[in-house]
Amino acid sequence: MVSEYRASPLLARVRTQRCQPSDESSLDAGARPANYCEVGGNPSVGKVQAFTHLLLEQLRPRSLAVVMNVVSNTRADLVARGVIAACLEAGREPASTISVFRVPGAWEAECEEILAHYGIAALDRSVGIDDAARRAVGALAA
Amino acid sequence: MSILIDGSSRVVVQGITGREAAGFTRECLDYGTRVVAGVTPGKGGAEVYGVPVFDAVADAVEATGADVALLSVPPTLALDAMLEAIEAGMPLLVVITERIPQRDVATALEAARRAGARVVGPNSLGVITPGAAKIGSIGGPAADVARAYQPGTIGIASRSGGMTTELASLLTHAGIGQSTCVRVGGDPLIGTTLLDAYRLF
Repeated sequence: MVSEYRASPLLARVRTQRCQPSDESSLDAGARPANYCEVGGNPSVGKVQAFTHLLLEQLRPRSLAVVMNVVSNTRADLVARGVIAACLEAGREPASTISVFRVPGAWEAECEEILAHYGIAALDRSVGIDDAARRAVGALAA
Repeated sequence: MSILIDGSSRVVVQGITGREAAGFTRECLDYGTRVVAGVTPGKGGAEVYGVPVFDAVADAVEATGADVALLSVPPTLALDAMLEAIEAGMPLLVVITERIPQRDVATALEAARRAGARVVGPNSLGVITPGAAKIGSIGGPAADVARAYQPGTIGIASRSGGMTTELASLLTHAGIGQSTCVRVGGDPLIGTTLLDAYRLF
C-alpha cells in the first residue's frame, strides 16, 4: 500500500494507477512526492481511510494533495469520504489538511457535495493534473 | 471508425450478480448498451436490473443471441468462465477481472486463439464507442461518461483505465470526439495488445 517515503515529506498524496503522472507533475512543480500509493480500482471508504490515516500518522505531512486522473471505476465520493474520515480520525481539520482535491469522474457531483460540507472546494477536470500539482506546491509555500 | 462494439452489440455479463458487475451492468444499460443476458451458475431465473440471468453462457446465447461476453468473475473462476464463453462460440470476450493466475490466462488465451475468439483484457476496464455503447465500468455512471467521452474520429487504446478516461476527457474538452476507446489491460499477458488495438482501427 504505502511503498516508500522520504524522510522529509513535502507532498503526500494518493492516486490509483501504476503509471505515475502526478509524481512527474509534482516534480515538475518543484516538489518531491513524499510517497506513492497504489490504491487499486474501486477502493472502499475503509481502504482509503486506512491508508490515509497511515500517511497522516507516519509521515505527519503538513497537507494532503489528493490528485487522481479522471476516474471510472473508482468512485470519487468514496475517496472523499475516506480521506475526510481519516483526517477526523487523526484529529485534523479536513479543510486545513487537504490542500488540493482533484478527483474528477465517476460520482463527482456527490464528491463535490461531501467536500463542500467540510469547506473544501473540489477541483474539476478543467484543472489539469500539472496545474493541480502546482497548486499543491503553492499551498505549501503559503 | 469504431471497433469491437457498436450499438448493435448484444452483451452477456458473466458474473452479473456480483457487486461490481451488477453496478456496471446498470451503468451500461443507462448508457444504452444492449445488455441482453447475465450468467451466474446456480442463479438462473433471477434478474439484475431487468436483465435475465442464466446458469450457462450457452443457454444465454441460445435465448438472447448475445455476441459479446463481458466477464467479471472471481479470479480463480476466470479460466472456467473464459473457456465456457469460448466454447459457446462468443467472438469477443472482454475480461474485467484482475489478479487471474497467469497460467490460467495463458491457457485461456491459447484456447481463444484456436477458436478464433478475440479477448480484450484481463484487467481491462472495458470498451466504449461513445454515443453508441459502453461495456464495463469505463467512464463510470452514464452522466459522468458523457462528460468525458463524445462521439468522433479519434481512437484511444491504453493500458491504464484512468488515463483512458483522462485522455478522452482532455480530447472532449478540446472539442475532439472519439471513435472507440479500449482499455487493453495492464497485465503482462493480455489478449489484445496496444499494437493489436491500433491495427483494428
